[in-house]
Amino acid sequence: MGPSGSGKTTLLNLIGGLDRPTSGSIRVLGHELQGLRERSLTRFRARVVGVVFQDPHLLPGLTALENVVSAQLPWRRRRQLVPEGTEMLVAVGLKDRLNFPPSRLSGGERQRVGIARALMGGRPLLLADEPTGDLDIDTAEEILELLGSLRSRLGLTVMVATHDPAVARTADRVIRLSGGALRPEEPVAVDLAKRTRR
Amino acid sequence: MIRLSWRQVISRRAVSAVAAAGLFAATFGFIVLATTARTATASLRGDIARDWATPYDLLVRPSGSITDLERQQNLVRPNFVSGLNGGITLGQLGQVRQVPGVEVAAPLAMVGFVSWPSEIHVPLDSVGRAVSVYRVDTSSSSADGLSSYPIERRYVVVASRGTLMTRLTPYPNAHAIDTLLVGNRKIHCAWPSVSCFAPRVCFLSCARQFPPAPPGYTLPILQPIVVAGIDPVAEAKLLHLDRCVNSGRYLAESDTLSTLHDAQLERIPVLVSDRSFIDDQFMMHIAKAQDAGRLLAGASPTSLRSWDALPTQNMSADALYRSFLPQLSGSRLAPYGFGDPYPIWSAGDVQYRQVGPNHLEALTVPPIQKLYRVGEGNGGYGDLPPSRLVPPELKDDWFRPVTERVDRYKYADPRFLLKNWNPVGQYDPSCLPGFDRLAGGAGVEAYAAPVVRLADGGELGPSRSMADYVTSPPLVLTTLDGAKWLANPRRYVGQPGAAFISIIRVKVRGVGQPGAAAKARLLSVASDIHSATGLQVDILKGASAKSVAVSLPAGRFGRPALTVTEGWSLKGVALRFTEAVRNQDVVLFSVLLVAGVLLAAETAWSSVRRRRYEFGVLRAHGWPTYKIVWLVELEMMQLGLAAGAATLLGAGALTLAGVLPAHESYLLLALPMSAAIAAVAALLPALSASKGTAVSMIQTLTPVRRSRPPAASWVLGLRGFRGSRRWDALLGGAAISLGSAVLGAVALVEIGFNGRLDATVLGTYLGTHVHRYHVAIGILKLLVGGLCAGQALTFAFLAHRPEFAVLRALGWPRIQVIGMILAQAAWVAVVGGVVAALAVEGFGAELHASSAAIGASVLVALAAALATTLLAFSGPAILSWQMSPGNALHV
Repeated sequence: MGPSGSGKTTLLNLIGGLDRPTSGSIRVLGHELQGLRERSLTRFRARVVGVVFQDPHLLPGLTALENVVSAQLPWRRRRQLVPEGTEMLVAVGLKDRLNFPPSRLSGGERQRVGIARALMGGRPLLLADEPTGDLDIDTAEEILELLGSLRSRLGLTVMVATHDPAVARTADRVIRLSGGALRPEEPVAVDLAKRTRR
Repeated sequence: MIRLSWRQVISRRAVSAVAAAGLFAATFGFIVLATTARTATASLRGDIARDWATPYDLLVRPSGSITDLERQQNLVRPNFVSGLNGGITLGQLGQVRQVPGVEVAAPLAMVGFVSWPSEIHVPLDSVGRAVSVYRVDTSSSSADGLSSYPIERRYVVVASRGTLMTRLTPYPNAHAIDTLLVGNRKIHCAWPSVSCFAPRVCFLSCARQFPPAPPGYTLPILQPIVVAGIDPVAEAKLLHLDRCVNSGRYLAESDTLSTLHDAQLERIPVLVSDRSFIDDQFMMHIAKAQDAGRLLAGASPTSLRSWDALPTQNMSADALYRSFLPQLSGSRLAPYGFGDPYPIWSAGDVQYRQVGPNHLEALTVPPIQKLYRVGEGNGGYGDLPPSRLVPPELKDDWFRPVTERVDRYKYADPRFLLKNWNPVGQYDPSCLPGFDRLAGGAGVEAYAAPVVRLADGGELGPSRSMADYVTSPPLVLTTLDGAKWLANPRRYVGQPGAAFISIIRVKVRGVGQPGAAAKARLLSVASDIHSATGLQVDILKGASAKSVAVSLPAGRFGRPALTVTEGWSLKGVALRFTEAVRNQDVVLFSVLLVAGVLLAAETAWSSVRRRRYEFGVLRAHGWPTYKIVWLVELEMMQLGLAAGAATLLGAGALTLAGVLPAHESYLLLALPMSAAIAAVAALLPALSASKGTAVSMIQTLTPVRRSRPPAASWVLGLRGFRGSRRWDALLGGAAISLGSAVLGAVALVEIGFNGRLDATVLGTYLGTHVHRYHVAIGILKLLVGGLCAGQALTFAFLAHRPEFAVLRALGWPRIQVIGMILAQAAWVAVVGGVVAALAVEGFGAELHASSAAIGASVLVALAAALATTLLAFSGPAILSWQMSPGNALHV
């Protein structure tokens, strides 16, 4: 958690293998990212890390299911991907929206598609960069609930970058960033149910 | 509004630059090609169908051969070619033959006049007396007997016994000095007026005796013969000259010149006419002395006074010519005999003065008396005095300038050779097609002498004077090699040398019935010939005979002033050549502009699509639709004007530097043309931009077709070209197909037709060479097409860059993203390649090209489309390769 420009996205990008550190080392779930070639980083992203962005950037010409399936298209066959994609969309509550194009989905639904897409392939780590930044409070709560639910159901590690303390309170652990540096941990114990509306 | 639109253009620098570059390439290319790729274009005035039955279609001749009469009144005198001494080179003949549509190009090289020696012999005898004396007054007549030329008076002394003692005068004026010894009497035979004959002939002393010559009167004659060079094969194709051979054989390609070094002779193969056309008559008025016995008393033959007239002996020059022909092979002109030591003479054309409607006066020219100078000691008749050598007709008025081309031959100098005729056969000129018609006067060149009619119905024919009004047609035909040898100025001073061909008669392939297609074909071929050679080209179709009265001044030998009637040729059509861009090329150049339109249209589509929300907002703020249309149009027109200004500057600078020819009109076209292209290109996108309500424009919906999820990344790439982006792909493909099709077509003409196109396609005659600018057009179009396709692919990539970045973040390898772009590029290549291949195949089928040629050309078109698409693909591929997902999502 941290204000804009504190380095949250950079940190997520480094953890997700989207960017390379200029110095130091990165170890993610036993994977030493330092010195990995682009091909290995790509494979790491495909198998270990799922990423959810503030704007899911769904491909406009594809349906929700096709968008989800497309995430693993280079690695697996369609006949394997379609059931899994369908399962993921069902898991995020979009059972009735499988063949909807992004333009016919609401902001929350699009984000759910983004989450489903990020979870394809059984990735153990989910990185979410301001996943509720563009959403209204109710929808944001739904997304956070979904993330929580998925975390427990799928045994995921979910790492969320946010500047919103309310979002931070849903986390088991909060790391504060300021000016690109970590600050001492501050325990957060917020019951989602007790979370106040902004 | 203008400022707003300009800011929009500026704010999208990259896109605007690509569109402006495409517009610049199209307009600059068009203007450069239109100003430089200019070829001769013929315009025709007149009716070619008026006289369609001509033995050939076009007459090619030196550009300076047009007379004032022809220029002003389209009048061409009959057999005018006799006055043309060269002007066309073998290289130009080759260029004519390479012009598409030329079926036969038959050259005629007027070498000039040569002299063939023959003689008239009248046997005379002593009639039982010791000595008989004859007086022979020889004259000739021409001009239908109106002119009479005294040749000589000679006395012939024939002794039935005695000895003729002969000796030679000192060299170089060597001639025989004879003395007749009869008994103890000496009769002096004064050369050349007295000829003596005796049963015994001694040279210097009677230790050396010669066989006696048959007594009689002998007159050596030099017959002027017109020699011309032809291409036997072409002549056979054009006029079937080979079918007119009546003895011996026709000239063959294998009839080459052969050198007899020992004899210093060059043997020249010739085909000889079996008639001469010369209407001269020789007359020998013979009288026999009653008192020949006075010679034995010391009198000279000239002093005898009593004569008995004997029947006059006549002989026509034509009969003399015919009687000489059988001897040709065995004469001194034959192999291993003497060479022909005489010069070659060339006669110019007659000059006229208009004295009334259809009435001309032929002008005389000053004669040159120093003709017939024969090289010393060359044999032949070199020992005869000019009075017996020079045709007396040459002492009459001259109508043509005659120039002597002196032979540089030097005895015993191996560098010089004497010409030596090698007759292979004889032909009958009357068998040639159109002989009668040509004799009637409608031909502009002929193997027959023109007919010049006198008021009383008689005819004026050629005489032995090379300077006479009526001149002889070619009587001796040799090969082009032979003509070239005879035209060499190193052998014959003043001969034309390399440009020894006088005219080329051209038959155009496939000119059937009169009509627009035939006219277009003739015009096209005429233009191409003129363009390739710079020579004058005339269309013979439509030419007709026109009777022209010509006044001839009175001659010096009895011919009164005459007004004769000649059948001239009135050219039915007038051809005017102008250096201009051919319509076919303008069409090709315009396709370049079409490519520019496609590129600009794609830019406009892309711009409009991305700004749909912006337009929706404008609509929501109350902008009327036409304002939005106008905004888009203004943006593109400003781009067009910028490209036009760049074209103007670039082309103007090249013009000032002298690289481009100055054509102000084309330069001034640059601005409006470029703006117009942009405006046309922007029209549909602009209308599209204004379509729909404000809400629908703001709520952009991308239609999705229900389908199976993609099986591979490349399928995903192709799906990126669904919806409105398919137009981008189609425009890119179309732009590529234009260039590929043009290159394929150029390849087809090059491969299938050796670079020469001559065909009628869909009723339109096409005839052209493959020029370098045709290839340039194809490459320019490909470049514009590449820009268009590159823009489509780049925009498709940039528009989905965040989505690609997300996919990369989710584990897509770079190569997979590039694979998507490659799939899109492949789609563009397929569209462009298939359309181009179909176009080339259709073109080839219309031209009846071979399957192999079509196949090769289709491959060229496909390869061009593929190469261009790969070029277009490289831009977005590089962008994709360099894309960092993190950075891409941050932006």
